[in-house]
Amino acid sequence: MPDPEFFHGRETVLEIGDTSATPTYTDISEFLNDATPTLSATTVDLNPFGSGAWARKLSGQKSGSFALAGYVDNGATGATAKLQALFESGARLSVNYYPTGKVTGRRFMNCTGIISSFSPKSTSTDAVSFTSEIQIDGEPTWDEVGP
Amino acid sequence: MSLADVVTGLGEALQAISGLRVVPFTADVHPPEAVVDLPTSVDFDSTFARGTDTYAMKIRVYVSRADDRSGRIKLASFFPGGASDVKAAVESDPKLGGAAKTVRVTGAENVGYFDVAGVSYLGCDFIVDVMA
Repeated sequence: MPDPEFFHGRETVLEIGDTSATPTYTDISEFLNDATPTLSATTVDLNPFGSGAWARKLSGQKSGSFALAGYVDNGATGATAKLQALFESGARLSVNYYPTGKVTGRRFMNCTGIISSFSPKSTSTDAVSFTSEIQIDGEPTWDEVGP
Repeated sequence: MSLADVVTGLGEALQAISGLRVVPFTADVHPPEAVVDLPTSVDFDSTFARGTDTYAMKIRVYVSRADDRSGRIKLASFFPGGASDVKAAVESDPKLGGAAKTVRVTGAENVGYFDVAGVSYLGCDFIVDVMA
């Protein structure tokens, strides 16, 4: 068995783009310090005769969301402006998420979604930050980064 | 954005204080003087992709203690509201001329006497958080 190879989250890259046939992506990693996709599936309880005390399960519908956190930037073309504009317009966006870095051969997730929240946060002792959530629309796909 | 850029940026911001000599790192002291020293700590990877590190920088201000009372009055002038307000000077340009993403003087500590090359000075340390 090969030695496991782990990766630090600092290598994570996140790009957002439009949902055209050939999307133009913008790397917003430098503005972010947290990117957490949550994929889940509902399950249905089955109680057939003879199953005893243990419930049986059927898999149900899958869905997902993507939580982002980072620092607010004042630039017109920065991550804050892009995410805020997408939230206000309700437009779909495309997301490329490279949890172990954008390096040839490593896996990344692509999905489309709609931004359901964008929340700036101010405290007197820290840089202004934000959290945002993307509701994943449809099935995310995983692929390898090409050469 | 490098540590050297941050030290230079802080030094240039402090030049706005009239009559204050600003030097990087400790040398012989000619008070009133502000020494922009190496960071006391650095938090790497404040954002992904090596986008931001956070430096806890120290600015040590020295004043003469030839006359203790006037030395204390002079040192007090470097605090907020004083004529030589260090916090106001550093935060006047939160980008430090392009060396930082944002900057905040978080506090002051170690008010007291410092011996440099056998001479005793009155001084204190201003702590500055720099995201760069």
